[in-house]
Amino acid sequence: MRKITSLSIGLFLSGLMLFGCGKSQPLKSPEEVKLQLKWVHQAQFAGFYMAQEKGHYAKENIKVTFLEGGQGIDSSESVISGKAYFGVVAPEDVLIKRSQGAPLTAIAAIYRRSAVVYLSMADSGIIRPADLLGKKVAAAGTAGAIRDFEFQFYALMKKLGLDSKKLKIVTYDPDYVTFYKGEVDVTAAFATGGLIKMRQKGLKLNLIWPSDYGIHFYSDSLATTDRLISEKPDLVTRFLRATLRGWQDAIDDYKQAVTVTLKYAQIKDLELQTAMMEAMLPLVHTGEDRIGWMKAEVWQGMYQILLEQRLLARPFDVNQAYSLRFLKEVYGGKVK
Amino acid sequence: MKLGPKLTIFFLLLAIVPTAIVGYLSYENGRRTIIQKTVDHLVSINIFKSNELKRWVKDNESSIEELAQRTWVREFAAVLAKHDIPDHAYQNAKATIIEDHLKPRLKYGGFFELFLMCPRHGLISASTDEKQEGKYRDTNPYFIEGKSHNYIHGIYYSPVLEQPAMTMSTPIKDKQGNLVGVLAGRLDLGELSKIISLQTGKSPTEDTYLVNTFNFFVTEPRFGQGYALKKAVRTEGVGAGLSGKDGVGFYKDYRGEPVIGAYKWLPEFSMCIITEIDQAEAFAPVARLAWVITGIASALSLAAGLLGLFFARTITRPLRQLAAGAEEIGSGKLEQRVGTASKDEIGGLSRAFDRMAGNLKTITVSRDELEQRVRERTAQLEVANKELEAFAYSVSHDLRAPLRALDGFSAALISGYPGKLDDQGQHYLNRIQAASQRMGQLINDLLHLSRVTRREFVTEQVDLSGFAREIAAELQAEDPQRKAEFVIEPQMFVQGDAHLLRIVLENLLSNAWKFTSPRPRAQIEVGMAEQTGEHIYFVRDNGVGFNMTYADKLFAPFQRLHGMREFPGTGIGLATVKRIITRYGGRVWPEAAVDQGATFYFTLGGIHEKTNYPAGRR
Repeated sequence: MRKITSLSIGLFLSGLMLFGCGKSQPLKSPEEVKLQLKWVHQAQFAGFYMAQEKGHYAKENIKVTFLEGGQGIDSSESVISGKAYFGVVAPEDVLIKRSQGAPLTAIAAIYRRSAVVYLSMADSGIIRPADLLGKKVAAAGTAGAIRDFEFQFYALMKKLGLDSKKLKIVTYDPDYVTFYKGEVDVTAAFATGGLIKMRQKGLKLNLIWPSDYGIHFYSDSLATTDRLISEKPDLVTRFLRATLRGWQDAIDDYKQAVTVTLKYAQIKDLELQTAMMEAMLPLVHTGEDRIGWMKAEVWQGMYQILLEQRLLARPFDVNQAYSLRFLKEVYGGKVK
Repeated sequence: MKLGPKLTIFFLLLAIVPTAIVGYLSYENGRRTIIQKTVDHLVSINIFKSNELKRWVKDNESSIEELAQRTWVREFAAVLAKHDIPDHAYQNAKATIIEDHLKPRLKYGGFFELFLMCPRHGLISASTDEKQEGKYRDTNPYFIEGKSHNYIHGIYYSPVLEQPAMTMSTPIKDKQGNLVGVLAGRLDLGELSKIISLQTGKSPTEDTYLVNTFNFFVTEPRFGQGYALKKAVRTEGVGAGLSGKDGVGFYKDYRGEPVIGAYKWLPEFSMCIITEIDQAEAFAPVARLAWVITGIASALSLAAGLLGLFFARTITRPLRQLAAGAEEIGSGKLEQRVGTASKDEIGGLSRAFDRMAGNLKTITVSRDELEQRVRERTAQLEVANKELEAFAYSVSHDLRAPLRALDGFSAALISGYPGKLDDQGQHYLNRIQAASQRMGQLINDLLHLSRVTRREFVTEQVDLSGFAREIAAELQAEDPQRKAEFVIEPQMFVQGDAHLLRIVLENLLSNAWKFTSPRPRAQIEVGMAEQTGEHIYFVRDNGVGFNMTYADKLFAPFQRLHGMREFPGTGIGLATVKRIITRYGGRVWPEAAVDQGATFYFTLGGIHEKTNYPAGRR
């Protein structure tokens, strides 16, 4: 009898609590979070759009505003300055800023394979890095993402023991006019961008992937500040969880992801965005580990390359530049 | 409800109920068999295809293993591992391996590229695809794992190849057992697709595909293009298969179509194989079966209904004939015959009915004759009766005149000639006068009796108790000296003719008064008893009574049990009573013994028994 009484009281109380919870939660207004994108709205950020559109952020009681990137916008600076809580930042930027003392930490690798690829015309006979010697390569640049082309190229040369002085490196031309004209033999491009455009033009190309030669780079990483991690770790977890769900949704159904992307994208070209999506998703979902997962050896490798290329202000402990803590929390320790 | 529809419905039910039950059971049975067959088929496809898959992998594994164990391959791999690319030995070894060993193997199918990696950096030193040479595979699982054992790098999307890939690797060791290379082959997934998508039958929806642990299609499903490793599939069957289960389910597939799906986890590939068939197709035979069974059941029911209708007709037609015949006979046409020719029970019944009608005709004819005779007799009797009554009346009437003369003249003699006759003469004269007076009394009574017989009934409510009291009072008044006690039950009401009922009571009470005269104290009771619903009235006295041996004679006219001197009377009274009671349809009877008093009972017959007693009577 006593048991029944206490049980029913317990039930009653828990009912009250449930009732209370259900009532109080909506009163707590969602936390406002700004996300700085690396570039203009396009399929590249499909997972974030999916998380937004499918209400994953809302479920975590987060109100997300996307800050569009573009020419002259440094996404890492937005995060460091506090303009945005989170940013889609190139991992090398994380390492470079970190070496400069900026408290930037990557919490997930969205693109776990670099989209950087070096292209030559199929009939040029240039099929591997060794063939580049004596050739003209459009890969130089320092602005934003384009910088990837340059330092991955140098890293590649160095890794293969090729003397980069034996070839001519010119500035990367985003319109590829010089490449089309044959003024340069090889051009760098993103597999998710330039490559698609060229293929749409019907060009037959040879592809040289840095990753085939031991240059393993992450592409987009999700970064935040050390301060946010220490002050609002819960928000970081929730934001990451919602984001990864969005990416999972995008991978599960890329056609829907394209549809959602078209709501945001400036270039509302279904064919282009679909092609981008198809090219990008294998970089996100590599078939190894969970989406967003990071490996110490890859970070170590990137750090080494940047250090060797003297891009880092000073050596530091690379493990400070990224954190697996939130990925572990989201996945509950399940890597695969 | 008429017999016809009743029988039809009965037959229909008789057919429908068992047909429905048997139909349902065989449908259920059939449905289960069909579904079980489908399920078995799907499961066996999974087993068959996964075995084919395993065999395919095993064959290729053996193939690559055989290559890796060739003496020359081992020798040249060791050369490639030791020398630098520009070396002549290196180039020679590479060319030999490619041309003599790897390329010929491609002709057998299974692989579209075979390549050899150096053990140190995973550098592709020799490949059947020249473009792949010089690449590093140091981080690839097939290199890392392939250094120590046979390894299959499951199906993954290769961004480099820009297509799904499956790579198999095996270590190459020199004579001393040192690792000198890793031989790898990219499997031709076209062959895998052929195995998985092989159509085992003519089914238009049967669909087999592989799904990996990331929920991605590994092979193209039948109804999808470019799904392999590009599109995730999260259906119930896939979920169950990926959780390591083998089984069958009913669920919606990647198109949202309801399917029956068999799933099987393939641990050696970390994939599940799914074989599905649209429920629409799988259940089509079930639906057909349902139609066939419904058709058969309907046909049976129709046949039963028609048979029922036919039987109902054959049964009801003679019955209707019989009923019509009975109706005719009933309405009086006794010469009518049903005349059913059938030899069954109904035929027998109608023949019996005909016989009965015949007999009835005979009986009715003789009854009619009898009635006719009775009527004639009655008429004759009535005539005779009337004549007799008229005779009696005229006799009594005509007899009175001479009697009055006799009486008158004897009176004149007695008063006119006193003393002229001696005593003897005087006595004779007195006797003549008395006799004539008595004769007059007799004639009066006879007249009375004849009147009673002829009188018409006037029915009204009659108070028997009241009559009895009046008569008792009259009797007492005639002889005030006599001590008599009358006990009269009050409120005896009957329906009847007051005049005649008074005559009955007068006769019975005056008899009682007469025969109690020797008693010092007369006791006379008038009452009523009820016996088996019949009212029996009685008049009881404590008079001299009589011997019951002569009871029969009492009610005949002029019959007397006592001497005239003892108790005067004409012997007409009880005859009158009897006649009145008889006219009422009642009975009258005595109960007496010598010196024990007498009781006369009478009833008034059914109709007149209906007496309205005022409330309060027992």
